[in-house]
Amino acid sequence: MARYFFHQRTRDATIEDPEGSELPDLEAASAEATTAARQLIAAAVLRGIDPVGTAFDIADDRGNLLLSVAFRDVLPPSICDPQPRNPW
Amino acid sequence: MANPSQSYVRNCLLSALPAEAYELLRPHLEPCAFPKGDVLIRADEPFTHVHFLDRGIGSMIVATPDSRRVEVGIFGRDGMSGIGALLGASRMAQQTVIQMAGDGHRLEVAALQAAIAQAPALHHKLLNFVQTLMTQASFTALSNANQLVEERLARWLLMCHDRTEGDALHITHEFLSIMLAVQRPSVTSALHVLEGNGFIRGTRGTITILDRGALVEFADGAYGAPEDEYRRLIGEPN
Repeated sequence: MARYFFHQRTRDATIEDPEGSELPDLEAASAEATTAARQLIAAAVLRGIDPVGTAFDIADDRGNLLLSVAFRDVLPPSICDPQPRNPW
Repeated sequence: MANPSQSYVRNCLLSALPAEAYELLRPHLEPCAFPKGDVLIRADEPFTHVHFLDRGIGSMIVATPDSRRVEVGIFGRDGMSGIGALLGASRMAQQTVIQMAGDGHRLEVAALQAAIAQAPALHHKLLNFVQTLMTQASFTALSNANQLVEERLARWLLMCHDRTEGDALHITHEFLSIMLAVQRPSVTSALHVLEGNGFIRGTRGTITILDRGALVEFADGAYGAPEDEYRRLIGEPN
């Protein structure tokens, strides 16, 4: 188990995570960030606004950046995939 | 040291009991400390004591078999644990755990039930508390179904504030994430919104309430009714 910090990057600034979460490994931390990003995106979508966040930067307790999870990467593929290009 | 006379009792529910009822319980109240994380009652297991807090906060939590949890009730010096003992149940589906350390008294269920048999007015007043817990749970359900994380958070912070002395709440984001059934980073984000509005100040391990009135307004009707009912049935919680 280790403590992972989820700093939320937004367009203007980074929201620091002061507390962190105890998780088994980086994979679990990535899953937590993905779920949290989805919750934040869903809440914003329901209100018809843009989420303020753009990514979670996952850091260890010394502040080393381990992994970033971009909000755009957690959306379901059916929403993200561009329209097939018209060959004409 | 003898247990306090009723006029010095800190727990509001005990101090609201009819005098003869309190005197029946008094010799059986055991002073105790309640450290953070202390499990007062395990889910689905028979319990032997109920607990009256003077300081600190207890939470009632339900969980799925794969440990997804949500808090369904909160009490402090306003109430007691183990309401199942008042309602004919020796086990409860909810776990009761101490979320903010404190102290108070515990009472053997057998002694409580013996006192109830002698004094129906005791049962009546304790059932008034059960009523307020049910109302609180109803508004938790309403809030969970309809409100955004930051509104639900405002409500919970008010409820914690009601049950602590001073304006500084020593609660973790993790505790809040269990109460609200959201990922912990979503709590951090919601706290940031409340802080941005000037309602609270957050530092590591501590959330300070700056503007209660604004939090009540922000909670948009989900806070207030259970508290009003408590005042009507039991009395002023402070």
